[in-house]
Amino acid sequence: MMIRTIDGQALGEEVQIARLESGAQIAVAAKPGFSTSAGYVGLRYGSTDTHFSLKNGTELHVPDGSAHFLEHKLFEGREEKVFDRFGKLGAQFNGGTGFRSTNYYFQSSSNFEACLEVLLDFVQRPLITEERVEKEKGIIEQEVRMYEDDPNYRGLFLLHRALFHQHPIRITPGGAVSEVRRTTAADLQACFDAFYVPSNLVLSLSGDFDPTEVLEKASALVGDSTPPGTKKIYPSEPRTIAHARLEDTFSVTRPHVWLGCRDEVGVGLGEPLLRRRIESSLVLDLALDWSTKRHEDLYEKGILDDTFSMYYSCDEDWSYAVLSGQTENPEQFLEGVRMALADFVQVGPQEEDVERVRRAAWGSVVSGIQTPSALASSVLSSLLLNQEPFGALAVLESIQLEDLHQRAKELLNPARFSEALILPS
Amino acid sequence: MPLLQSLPKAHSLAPGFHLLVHPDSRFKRGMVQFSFDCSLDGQSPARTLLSQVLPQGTQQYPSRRMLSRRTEELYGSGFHFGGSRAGDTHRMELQLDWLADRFLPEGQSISENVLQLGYDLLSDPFHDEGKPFSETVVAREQDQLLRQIRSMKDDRTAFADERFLFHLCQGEPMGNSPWGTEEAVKALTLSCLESARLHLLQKAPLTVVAVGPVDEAALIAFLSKHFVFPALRETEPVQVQKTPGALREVHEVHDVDQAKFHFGFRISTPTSPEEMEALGLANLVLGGGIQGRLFREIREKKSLAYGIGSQLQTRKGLLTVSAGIDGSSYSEVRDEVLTQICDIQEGGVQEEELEMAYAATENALQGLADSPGGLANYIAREHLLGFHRSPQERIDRLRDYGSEQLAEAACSWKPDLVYLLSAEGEKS
Repeated sequence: MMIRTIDGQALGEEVQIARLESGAQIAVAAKPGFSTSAGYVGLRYGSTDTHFSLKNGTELHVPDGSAHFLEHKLFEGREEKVFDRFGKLGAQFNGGTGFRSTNYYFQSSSNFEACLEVLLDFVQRPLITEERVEKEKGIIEQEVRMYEDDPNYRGLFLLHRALFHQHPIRITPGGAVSEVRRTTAADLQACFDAFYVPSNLVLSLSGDFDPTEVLEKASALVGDSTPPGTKKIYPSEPRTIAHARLEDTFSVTRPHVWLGCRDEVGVGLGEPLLRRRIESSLVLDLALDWSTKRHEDLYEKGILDDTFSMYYSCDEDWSYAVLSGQTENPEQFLEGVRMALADFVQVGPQEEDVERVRRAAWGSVVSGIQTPSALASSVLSSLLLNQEPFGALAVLESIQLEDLHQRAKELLNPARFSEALILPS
Repeated sequence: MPLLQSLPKAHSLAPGFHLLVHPDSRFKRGMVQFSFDCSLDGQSPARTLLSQVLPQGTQQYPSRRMLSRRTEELYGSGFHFGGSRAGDTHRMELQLDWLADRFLPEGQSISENVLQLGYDLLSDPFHDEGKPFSETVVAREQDQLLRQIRSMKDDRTAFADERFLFHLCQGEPMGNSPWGTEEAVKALTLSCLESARLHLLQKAPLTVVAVGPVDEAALIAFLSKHFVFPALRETEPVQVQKTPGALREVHEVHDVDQAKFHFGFRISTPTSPEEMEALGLANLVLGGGIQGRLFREIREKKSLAYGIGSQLQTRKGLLTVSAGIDGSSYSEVRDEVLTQICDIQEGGVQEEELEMAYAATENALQGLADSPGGLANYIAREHLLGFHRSPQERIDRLRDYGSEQLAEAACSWKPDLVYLLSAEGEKS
């Protein structure tokens, strides 16, 4: 077992990271004086991983939403439901399936070791049967239908279909109801065997405990099987957008509009991805946040209102910015936002503004890991993306004015803008 | 003294004006929460519009842009001003938070600047000469509020919540929405807004809760200087209690994929900490989380819902159940909710359920020590209830409540209204 220590002195935190012989990683961060402790376990396997090959060369295609379905089934446990096991311990817990990762967590004020045992037991020892899978379909169907009632959710995936030709993030993490219905126990077992292996697991723990003792305890709970040699298979994605505009209708009172600005290609994992995410988020803040004259002008003209929002999303092989809002006049909204972005690219960021948003971002990073749960979650996210925990501060401090201008020119290129409109039916 | 055993330091700065402070140097951010409690009434639309107008600027920072730049300069300090429904109360809250001094460059401190910014927001709004506000800003925000009212239907869950409360509490303040009708918003004038602002600032009952790295003495001095007025502040709005008649059922049609189910029960408002604890535990057994019977029976055994749970509004005397279901399962879900409640009332709860409710409550109470927001809400609630219990005091007495006490607490639950919002033809 190799152990290294990451000193986040500026944040008042420290984390020890061990890599076991199986390849599993365990991060432990002590939070003296805090009452709660938290455990997160995650792996790089998400909703987009529906096509993969096994060590013997066999290729498997599983239904959309399989990773999410599997997450549900893991909570069923083997002999006893996970709900009951955590319930008896008084712990809060949940899980989540993203496009490229899945994670599970607990937060508890007592029984930390028992909670850790439950967490690492149910993610490594499920019982997946046809009967259990059939029983879950009604529950997942209701979850999928709940999301389908949300115009913002529909619009986002309409935008994904406009931005990308083949990329599996065009599909919702839960999959369509028809895909849920055709999922079998064999599909889910195949996914589990291919991905839920020690070499893929990352465990992140935080609380008022002795890190050495906890590390020892946790290491003993992670299995030691060899990597199964699974290879994920993704379709080849062109560098261009799929559609300049897609429209759909839904029962809404006024149009919901999305403008997506796609990066040509991804930059992989690690520090380049962290840098790209931070630079892009700063670019959006500097271009069109509340503190800009551009936003003020559009707001005063009634082109934007309080429904306007923007963010940047990225992973190893995709990244894009989304700017969205509701409006009576979609063309005016889109033209206003496009012109504001073009103006920003032309003028470029100003030193005074960069320092101001950098300061705000710094405050956000520092206070974003206030509790054991937030700290454990943040460390897990970093490790899953092959990034150094607490690395955001160093990146934030190193960013230069010209870096941001360059990022703006790349990201805010109208040739890779897509529009998605949900119009009243 | 261990964190969970300590009570917040309480200061009565004037009649109807209380400060509760829980200093805690572990947190990286300090926070102060101002709660102004008014009745949900004809003035509510003015308060709601006010919550949109005030963040548009102060005389010193005369636009939303300038205010945003200022908070960015203050290391991303937060300020949020908004309103919510708490039973029959229209609660207006100003929440401020800032980075602790130890993370700032040596010698810097920003808490006073943030407090001043929050105070200026309430006391010195950006205005045209000789007028209380800018006419342009008010007209723009009025339009915005009207658009929000018209587009409420787009958020199907929130729309169903609103329609349910409208039917359940018709004729009671809680049946009014905080934003009112389009007509009420259109009729608002600058003087309506000014009257609402002055009422909040000078007369509404005010509770301030501060948690984290805060300077208690400086906070008391600041609040005494700015929020104490010659006129007395009013008392807390009274909550209207109602005894239901026969069970009412309301079905409304909307373009939804998933039907929204709500069930409202009237309950006796607890008058003692003992009654309150027993009620809370009984609700946990029914539907207060994944250990609840509703989750187990309706989701896990019958696969009829993804999420289902029950919530208490103790001061108002309400228990509500909500779920997203297939409309065709309506009768089955309604009957199962009634069956489970009847079962608790008549048969009490099982030992295992009780243990899980104890464990969940204990964990939640212990977890408060690590959550500034949760702690602030707990402190404010205890103050409002007049119980002033420390989390540890509650943990120590939790096991005094057994199946009998929980069944007794549940006996006051009387079904009042079942509500379903579903697509045309989708109801069993």
